[in-house]
Formats: sequence, C-alpha cells, structure tokens
Amino acid sequence: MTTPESIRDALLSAPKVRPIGAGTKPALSQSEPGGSTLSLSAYQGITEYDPSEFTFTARAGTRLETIASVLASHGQYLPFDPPLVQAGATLGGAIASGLNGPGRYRYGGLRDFILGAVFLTGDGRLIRGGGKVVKNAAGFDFPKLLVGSLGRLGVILEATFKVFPLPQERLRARADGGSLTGGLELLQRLSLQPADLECLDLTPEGVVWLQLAGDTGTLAPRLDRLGRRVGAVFTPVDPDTPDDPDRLRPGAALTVKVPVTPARVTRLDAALTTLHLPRRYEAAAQTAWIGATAADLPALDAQLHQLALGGLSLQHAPARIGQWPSPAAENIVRQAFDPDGRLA
Amino acid sequence: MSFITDLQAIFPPERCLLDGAALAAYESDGLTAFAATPRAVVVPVTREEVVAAVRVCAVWAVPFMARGSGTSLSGGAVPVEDGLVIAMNQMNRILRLDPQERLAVVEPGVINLAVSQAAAPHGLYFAPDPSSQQICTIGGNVAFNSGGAHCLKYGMTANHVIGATIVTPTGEILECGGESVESLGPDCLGLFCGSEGLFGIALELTLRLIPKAEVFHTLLAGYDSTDKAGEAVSAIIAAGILPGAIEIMDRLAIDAAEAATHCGYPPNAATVLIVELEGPIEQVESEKQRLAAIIEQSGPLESRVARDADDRALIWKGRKSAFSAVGRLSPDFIVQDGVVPRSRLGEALRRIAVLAQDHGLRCANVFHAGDGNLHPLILFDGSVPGEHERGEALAGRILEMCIEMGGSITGEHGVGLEKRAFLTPMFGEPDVAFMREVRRAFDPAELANPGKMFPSGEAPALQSHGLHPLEKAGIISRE
Ligand SMILES: Cc1cc2nc3c(=O)[nH]c(=O)nc-3n(C[C@H](O)[C@H](O)[C@H](O)COP(=O)(O)OP(=O)(O)OC[C@H]3O[C@@H](n4cnc5c(N)ncnc54)[C@H](O)[C@@H]3O)c2cc1C
Repeated sequence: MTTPESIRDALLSAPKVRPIGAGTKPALSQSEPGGSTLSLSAYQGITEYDPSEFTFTARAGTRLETIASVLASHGQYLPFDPPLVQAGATLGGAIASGLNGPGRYRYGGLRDFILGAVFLTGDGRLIRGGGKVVKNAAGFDFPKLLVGSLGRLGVILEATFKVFPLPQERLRARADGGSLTGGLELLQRLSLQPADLECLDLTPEGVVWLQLAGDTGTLAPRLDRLGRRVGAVFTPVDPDTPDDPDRLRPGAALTVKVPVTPARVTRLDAALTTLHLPRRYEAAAQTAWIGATAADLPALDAQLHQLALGGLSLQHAPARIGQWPSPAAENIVRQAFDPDGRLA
Repeated sequence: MSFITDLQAIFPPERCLLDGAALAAYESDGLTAFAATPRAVVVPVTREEVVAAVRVCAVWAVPFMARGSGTSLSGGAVPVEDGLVIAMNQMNRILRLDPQERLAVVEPGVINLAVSQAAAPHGLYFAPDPSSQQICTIGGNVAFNSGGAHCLKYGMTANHVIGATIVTPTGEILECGGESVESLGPDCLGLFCGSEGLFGIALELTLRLIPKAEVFHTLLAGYDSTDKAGEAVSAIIAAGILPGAIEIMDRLAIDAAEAATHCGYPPNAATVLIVELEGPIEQVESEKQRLAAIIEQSGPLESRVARDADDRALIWKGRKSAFSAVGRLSPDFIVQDGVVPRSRLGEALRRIAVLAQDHGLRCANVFHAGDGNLHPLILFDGSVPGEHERGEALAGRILEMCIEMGGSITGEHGVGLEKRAFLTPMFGEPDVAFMREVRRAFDPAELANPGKMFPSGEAPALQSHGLHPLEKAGIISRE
C-alpha cells in the first residue's frame, strides 16, 4: 500500500480496521476481534525537509530512525525524544501512540511539535489539518487530536513536525537522594531551578538522573553550579556507555506508560513495590514507566484502578489498563471522524 | 416563561444586563471594525452559573458567546446579533497555585499576567505572553491559542495548558487532560485550544508553569535593508542557535516606536532586528559570542547589546509599543497576522511593499521573524472615500500571498469574523466541510459563537478600524 488511494480502498474494504506501523508496540498493533489490520509501513518517505525552516514532512510509514538520521545530518533532532526508534518505530505509530522519551522534559512532547497532518477519516475522507509552518492558528487543530488516538480516530498518512537544533554536547549525571522520598524532594527542587535540564528522571531507589545539553565546554560548570545550588553531589555518567541503558530507554524493558505527577508517585511506587515491578519516573515524574509481563497486567490493572490512574501497555494486551480518562470528548469527535465505528 | 425570565431566575439583575446602554459596552472587541448588539449579557461568578446559562440557551435555541476581555483582533469576541454574551471576566480566581507540581488551576477569566505574577515568587511563570497580557484572559488565550514573542522556543498557549473542564453547547460537561503533562487517549484538549469558542466554554483550566530563565542577552541591530536582517535571522538559525525571541521592525514601525517611546533604535536603519538569548549563564555566554560573530558578518549599520535590565526593557518597549504607536500616525488601521516560511520573509516583505503601493496605502511591518509570523499594519483614513475598502482589499491580498507561499492566514490572532473568507482558500472545501462537521458534533444547533471562523452567514456591520479603547488610553499595546 503505497498510495493514499490504495490505503483508502483497503480501509473501506473491512468493517473493523486497525491501522498499524511497524508493530514495535504489539499491544497497540492488534486488530479487534473479527477486524483486520492495515499496515502503513510501506507508505514511506520524507516528502519535505528544509532545515532552515525547522520543519519536515514525512509519510506515516517512515521509520523514526530514518528521520532522526536525516535530521542529525543537518544538526537537528526530534526534541520529544520518541522511544523505540532503533526498534523500527514509524512516524505514524509515534503520533497515534503519543509516546515521548525522557528528553520531552525540556521542550515538551510530540503534541507540542506536530504542526500538520493528512489523514483518512474512518469513512475514507482525505483531510488535511494544521499547516506546514511553525506557527499557525487557523482552523481546528486536528493534528493534536490524533496524538494518542491509537489509530481509533483516523488513518494518519502524513505529518509535518517542528524540529530543533541538536545541542553541541550532552552531559548525563546522577545524584543519590537516598530514598524515594529524598529523590522526589531533590527532583522537585531541580525542577524549580532555571537550569534548562534536558532530562530529569527518578528511580524508585531515589536516584535522580539528569541530562544537560548545550554548547561545548559549558556543561561541566553548569552541573557544578547546579549541584551547589540544590545541595546535591552529581556524578557524571558517560552518555555513550550508560550503566543502565534499558531503564533510560522506555519501551524496551519498561512497557507500560502511566501519566502521573510528583504528588502521585509515592502511592504508586508503594503499589509497584508490592507487585515487584521495575519502574522509572520520567520528565520530573510526569510519566511512570513500568515493566510488566502479560502475567503482571491484571494485578497492575487493579492497582491502577485503585489509585485512579490509567496506563497504556505497549507489549501485552490489553493496551488500556487502569482508569482511563472519560471517553466523552472522544465519542463526540468520533461522530465526525469515524461515523461507522470502523476504527473504534 | 421566556429566555429572559429563565436567565433572571439564575442571575441577579446587576449581573443580567438587558438595557441598551449596558449592552453597548459589549458590542465590539479589539478589532473595532465589527459590532453587533446582543440580546442580553450575563456575568457569571460560578461555573454552575455558566452551565445554567448555556443550558438555557440550548432550551431556547439562542446563540451565545463567551467573552473574556474582548481584546480579540479578529472579531472573535463580537457578539452574535440578538444572542447572549456570557462575560467570563468575573470568574477570575486562581484556584490553586502549586509550585511543587508546577501548575496553576485557574478560572477562565483570570488575566494572563496575573498567573505569572502569582507564580513569580517561586521563580516560575506562564510562558504565553501576548502583548495584551495585562488585560486578556486565559479563556481568550485558550480559545485563540494565543502566542507572543516567544513561540518558536516555547510554543503557543496550547503547549502550556494541560487540563480543562468544558461545558459543551448542549450542556454536557467534559474533562480533558489533567494535572500531568502526559495523557492517555486522543488529545481532545489540544483540539479545544484554538477552537475559537465553537466547541463550548472553558470553565476551569490547568496551566503548566515553567522556571524563568536565569539570564537574558538582548541584542539590537540596524540594517540598511530588510533582506540583510532576514539573512541574519537565517544565519542564526543555521548556526543552531535557538533564541527566545527574534523580532524585526521596518522603518515606518521604527519611526513610530521612536516617537512614542524614545527607545533609541538606530536612526538611519531601514530595519531593526532584536534577538534575545535566554538560559543558563554559561550557555548564554557561549551563544552570545557566536551571535556577535554572526551579526558582525551580516553587515549591520550598527548593533548594540542591552547593558542592563532597564536597557533591555527599553528595547522591548519600543518593539511592544510599535503597533499602537503606528496606529497613532493614522486614524485607522488594519493589523494582519499571516505566516510565511521563515526563509522567505524578505520576499514576503518586498511583495507586501509592492502590494501596498498598488493600493495607494502605507504599511508598517513588525513581525516575529523566528517563526515567520508577519504583522503588517495597513494605515488608512476611513473618512477618505474608498480608503477603507482599499485597506481591506490589501489585507486580503496579503493573506492570499501567505497562502500561496505555503504559510497560514493567522499565526496567533485567530480567524474570527475577519478572516472567514480565507479559511477555504487555505484548506480547501473538503477540509472546511469536515471542520464544520466536527463543530456540529459538539454543537448540533450551532449555538456557540456562530458566524465565526466558517465562511458563511451575514457579517455584522463593518465600522472603521482603529485603536482599541484601552490602547487609546495607553493601558495596553499590541504586537
Ligand atoms: C493591544 C493588543 C495586543 C495584542 N497582542 C497579541 C499578541 O501579542 N499575541 C496574540 O496572540 N494576540 C494578541 N492580541 C489578541 C488578543 O489579546 C488575544 O486573542 C487574547 O487571547 C484574547 O483574550 P480575551 O480575554 O480578550 O478574549 P476575547 O477577545 O474576549 O475573546 C476571544 C475569543 O475567546 C472566546 N472565549 C473567551 N473566553 C472563553 C472561555 N472561557 N471559553 C471558551 N471561549 C472563550 C470568545 O468567545 C472569543 O471567541 C492582542 C490584542 C490587543 C488588543
């Protein structure tokens, strides 16, 4: 399927369809019972890229790895730091799953960088939303709506993104808060500093991981000053040989995303301790990443319900666990986006 | 039983305005070109009252419009003729300010600047900074996805709102987003931002606060041509520098700003460029040397760096007052808000100059060069027969040019009434028809702010353009 027309034909040929990319998030790439999948992974290619505009446009099946390397060759990158790039994740799948990496801390998530999208509605209409310039307030912001839509509102064909210049250098460091509580306190002190951190993560043991990004030669003095200001000892960690690569890269070992806030971490962590699940708190504890096998999911689901939190499981079905936000608004837009319920 | 008696059952007389004199204050917004008289104005102080008013409108099929401070520059806050205005500006409490969680929960009538002021003791602020920020409301910012001078790096309002409670035009209450910057499911909150009041009324908003930058470095350079300033911008971008703000003003705008504020801009320059770096000391120190080299290479007539906070404020005062100041040079004006690809700013300006000449009008330019957001200011005298029409025609040509160049008809002011005719040229029929379908999914009877954004219906009476009354009083200025 390499043209919008053939994708549209395939969409309309089945009563229940789940559009998918490369399938790096298996729980999100499954068809409904009795339905079929529609793979976009052959619909590839960067169609526009002008580094001086800080924007690119690519087809949904384009691998993030390809995009990242083309951007890097012009000194640019995707600031929201999507996971599973090496695993083969596609741009369309990244939008539909709405996932971000630790680097989202600095400038925001995928939703903050998507500018435009071309998509098919569930009944096969080709719609263009947003624009191709970095600023645009005309019309409804359909591109944002598609972020996190899990393929249930439209089939994303193409999207335009804003990108930023790559920093010259990065410096990763860790500080030990002694306990989860100590780590949380340190994390909150850091998040109030004008330190322009790129990443700010926390482990359940209370170790705070941070990453600075900026011009060559400026990072060590910045780290030094920051440590003095918040009263912590930071140990630099070589970014090329991270001692804990899987935990730094969600999506590989850590397979469930749970939106949280610092105030909710303590109770969640206590629950996860009882369940013996690995986890990490990312972006100043706005996202919890949890490692859960298929066997762990029912218990995790129950715990999340109790805590009034929701989770997205990438590896094992069901994808939606715990308490999800009310679908009321989604149901309203579905009347227009997917009137036949083909994608629901 | 009538629509009015139903309202009177909810609102005391002093908050349910019915007589002509009281209603007159609500006839227009910041774009004084349009006016319409509402049937009534209600001033809720609780969200229950807002919901009740919306439900009364639904029962009687009366159109309504939420109004913040009425500073919209696109006619977005002009009442629906004979409809209800729900004035949100007394719902102005900051319900919670939580520095540890870095968020603020506010009522929609809170003034933009009030949020940053409340957050300041914690070293935090609310990033979107429209130049109307002393007066415009968060609800209006959300409805228009408003911006300011710092959008390239920090984004628009939508990038800083993380939760909302909304009442839809059918009276249903929706919760979108929450307290985390991460969410699950489709980003309905993102869709609500910038929907120009067509999906309902925001009752409560959760805002993300960010730490204020450690240091600023503000550079002002004058050039003998706009092209050179544009090339300097391209060189800054190519060098991988991400300034907090990059602004350009042309000669007419400089003259006006200088007359109004004595801001000390280069006297002989055809164009000035303002670049502001911000961040940690070490980073800004490094970038400022790279910036200095780029500026020197770009062949400016002169350049200088703000010595201290006062000097920085003066440079910005000139920039921020430019439009009001230009407005004082002319009895009437139209400000446009189109966007072009950043690398084609020079070309856009040359074409605007030619278009202005063709229409026999003067046009000053101030723009957010970092994101290609133009603000051409078309000067005219409404008392001269034909000038107003020529001004409108010129504004239209400029928008068409933006569309043709692959840009947008609005970067931050919204479509409103003013740019309705240009939505279809920008998107095409099917896209606009689909937008309208989405609108009807929220609002089958099309009661929420009808007549805005979509190319249809009768436009309210056109008056002449001019300064917003608060600008005339010198209280606010525009970007
Ligand atoms: C001098 C001046 C300078 C300006 N500078 C800038 C600038 O730099 N950047 C920029 O982006 N804009 C700028 N503007 C435009 C304007 O200030 C913004 O659009 C602002 O966000 C409008 O806020 P308001 O409270 O005045 O809203 P209003 O004008 O009262 O309303 C605007 C729209 O919001 C809707 N609305 C209001 N409250 C709600 C609610 N609670 N729920 C749902 N919808 C609601 C209204 O129905 C209307 O459609 C400027 C305007 C002026 C007059």
